[in-house]
Amino acid sequence: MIIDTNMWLGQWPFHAKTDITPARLQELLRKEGIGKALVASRESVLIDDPENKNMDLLSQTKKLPDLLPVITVNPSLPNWKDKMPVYIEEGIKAVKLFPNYHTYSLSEPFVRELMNICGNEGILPILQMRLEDERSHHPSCIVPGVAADEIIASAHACPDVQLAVSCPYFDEAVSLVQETKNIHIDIAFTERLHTIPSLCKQIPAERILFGSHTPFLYTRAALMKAEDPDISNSDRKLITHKNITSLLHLYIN
Amino acid sequence: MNPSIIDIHIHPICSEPHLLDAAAAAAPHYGVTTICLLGDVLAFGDCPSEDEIQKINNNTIEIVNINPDLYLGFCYLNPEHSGTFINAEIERCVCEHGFRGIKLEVAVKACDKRLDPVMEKACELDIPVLHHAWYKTVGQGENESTPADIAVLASRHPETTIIMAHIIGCGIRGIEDVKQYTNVYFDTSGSQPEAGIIEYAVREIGSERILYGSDVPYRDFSAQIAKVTGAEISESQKKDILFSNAQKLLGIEV
Repeated sequence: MIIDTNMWLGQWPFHAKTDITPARLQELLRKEGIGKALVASRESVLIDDPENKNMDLLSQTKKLPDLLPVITVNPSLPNWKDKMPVYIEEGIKAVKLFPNYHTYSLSEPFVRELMNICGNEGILPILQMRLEDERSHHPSCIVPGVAADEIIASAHACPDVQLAVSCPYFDEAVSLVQETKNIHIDIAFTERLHTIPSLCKQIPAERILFGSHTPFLYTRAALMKAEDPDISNSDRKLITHKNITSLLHLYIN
Repeated sequence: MNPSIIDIHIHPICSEPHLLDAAAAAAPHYGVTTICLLGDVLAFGDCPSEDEIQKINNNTIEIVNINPDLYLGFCYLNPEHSGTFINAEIERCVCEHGFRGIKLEVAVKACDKRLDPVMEKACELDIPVLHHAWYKTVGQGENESTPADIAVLASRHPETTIIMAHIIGCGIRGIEDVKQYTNVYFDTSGSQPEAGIIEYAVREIGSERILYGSDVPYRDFSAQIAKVTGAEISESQKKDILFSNAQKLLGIEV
C-alpha cells in the first residue's frame, strides 16, 4: 500500500499540464499502484477566500474514498475560524497552509492558534513550502519559498503538534527534521543520487513521507525514488504508508 | 525497466570520486548502459584557466580509461581561451582519447563569436557540442546562456550539432526559441521532474531531437528517468529519448 501525501486537483495557470479531474486522478492511482492520496485544490491557492474551492473539493471527493481531501486554510483571513467547524464535521484529516502565497508570517499568533486547533482535533497541518521550482516561476508571479528557519521556529512554538512540510529541497528537508522533533517532510522536491537512502543517512525514516506533487511533477518520479533498491523494506514501509497512517490516525486493512 | 539507456549528462566531481562510483554502481538497476561524462565543470568556478581545463579533462580521461565500456568522455572547454589552445585540447581529448563531444558551460554566452573556433572544430570532427542553457526568472548567471543565445549560435553554425541542456529549465519558451534549428537537440537533465514539458517538446519538435540526461550526482536516476517513462508519450518515443537518438548521434555500436 502506498499513500501519496501530496496530490492536487484542478487547474494551475502557470503549468503545462493544466487540469486534472477526480476521475483522472483515480485512474492514475490505479495505474501507478497507489492506494490512497491526500488531495488539495490547486485553485484554492490563488483566490481571496478558499472556502468555495474547499467545498468543491469536499463534494468532488465525497464518493471517492481513496482521495482524502486536504482543506486550504488562510488564517490571515478574518473568517477562517468560522469555517473550521464545518471542515471538522466533514471529517477532514489535514489542512494546507500557504504562507508565501497568502503573504503572512508563520510567527503571527493566528498560525499558532490554527496549529493548536489542529493538534486538539487530530488534524495534520501541512505547510506547503513551495509549489514550483523558483527558477522557473512566471516572471510576473515570483513567489519565494517559505524560509526553513521560519518553519522550524513555528514547529518549536507548537511542540505538541505534529507538522508536515511539503516540497522542501534536500538540504532544507534535512534541516527541518534535524532541528525539530515534530516536522515530517515529503520527498517530492528532495533529490540527489540515491535520494531516499541519502536522506535516511541524515534523518530518521519515521519522519519521511511519500509525496509526488502530482500533477505538477510526474508521479513516477516519487515512485521510482521509493523503489531505490538501497532502501530497507522496513524503511520503505514507513515512508510509503506507515508514517502517514499514524499521523492521520487512519485504519488500513 | 528499459533494457538500455544512454545518459548524456553526468558530471564526475574531482573532490568526491565516490559519487561517480556510486552512480556507476546504481546504473545497472536503472538500465543505464552508457554514461557521458561532461567533466567537473564546477571544480574551478565559472571561468577556468587553460591549466584548470586540462586538469578537468585529465580527470575525465582517467575515469573513461578505467571503464571504457560504461563511460564516454566529453571535452570541457572555455571559449575565452585562444583558438590554438582550444584546437589542441580538442585534438588531445577527441583524437587521442576518443571523446565523443564537447561541453560548454557558463564561461562565455552561447551567442558570443568566441565560440566560433569550438563550433568549427566540432563540425570538422563531426561531434556534438553540449551547451548549458536555462531561463531563470530569479536571474541568469553573468554569462549563463538562455535558449535564445543557443538559437543565435545554431543559426551561425547550422552544420554543427548542438545539444541544449536542461529542457525543463529552458521551458516552453526555450523549446520555441530553437525549434526551427534542426541542428539543435535537447537534453532532459536537471530540474524537478515537472510534468508536461516533455510532452510539449515531443509534440512540437518530435521525439527524434530529445536525449535523456540526468545531471547525476546532483540529481537522481530515479526522478530523471521518470521524466521520460512517466511522460504521456508512446513507448517508441520513450525509446528514442532514452536510447536510440543518442546511440545514433554518438555512433555507439549496439
